Amino acid sequence: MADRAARGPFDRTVLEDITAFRQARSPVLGWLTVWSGAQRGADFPLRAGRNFVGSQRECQVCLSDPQVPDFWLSIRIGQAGWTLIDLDSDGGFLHNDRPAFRGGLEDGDWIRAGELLLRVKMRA
Amino acid sequence: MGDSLDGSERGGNGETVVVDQCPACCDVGESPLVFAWLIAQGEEKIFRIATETFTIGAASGNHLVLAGEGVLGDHCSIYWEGGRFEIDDHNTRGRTRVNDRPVRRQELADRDLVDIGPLRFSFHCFPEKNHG
Repeated sequence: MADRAARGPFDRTVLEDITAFRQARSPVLGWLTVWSGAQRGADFPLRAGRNFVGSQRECQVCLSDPQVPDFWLSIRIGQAGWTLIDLDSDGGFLHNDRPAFRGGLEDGDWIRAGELLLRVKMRA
Repeated sequence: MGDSLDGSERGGNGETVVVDQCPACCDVGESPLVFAWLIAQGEEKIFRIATETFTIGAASGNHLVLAGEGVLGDHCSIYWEGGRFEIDDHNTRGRTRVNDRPVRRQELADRDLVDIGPLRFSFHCFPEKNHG
C-alpha cells in the first residue's frame, strides 16, 4: 500500500495489549501467598482476568526464584471461577499434593513446585 | 468523610500494603507466617497483617494508624495465636465492633466486618489454621 511506504519508523507503533492496564485498575479478588522459597511471607494481589506467575517483571506475580520460568503459571479469574494453568514447565506443579498442569482453584488451595510453596486466598 | 487512613500504605486502588513484613524465617522453630488482610470499605485500601500482634489506633507507632473521630490512640489489637485470629478492644466503650456487635475480645473469622470507630473494614484470612 502506498501510504504504508510513506510512514516513518514510529508510525509502526502498535498498542498490543491493554489488558494489563485495565487489570491494574480492577479490584483485588484475592492473593497468592508465598509459604516457602526466597520470598517467603510475601503476598501478591490477584485481579480479574489473567494473572501471570513467573520470574519476569511483567508478571503480576513476579517470583525471584531462579528455578521459576519466565512465565510459569496463569491464574485466570472469570465468571466460570478460578483456573490455574501451567504455561512453561516440564513437570507441571503439585496442586494440593497432586500432579497437575491445569485445574480449578478453591480458597486455600496449595501449589507446590520444588521448594516453592504457594497458597491461594480468595477474597469472596 | 473527614476520616482517613494513614500509616504505611503505598496508595489506593486495591494495592496490597505490607505493614510489617515477616522476615524469611519459620521453617525451624522461628516466628510463624501470618497471613491476613484488612480491607477498608469504600476506599478499597488493603492492609496486610503479617505479625502475631497487630496494633491499630490513632497514635503513631501502631502497625495501622487511623485518623478519624472516635478512633483512640491505642484502639485495638489483632492477635494471631494458636492458628486463629482474635481482636482485642482496648476499652473504647463500644467503638470496636465485629459484624455490628461491640466486642471486648473475640475470634475473627474470614470475611468478618470490623468497625474501628467510624471506619469499616472487612477481615480476610485463611479459613483454617493459618500456619502450614
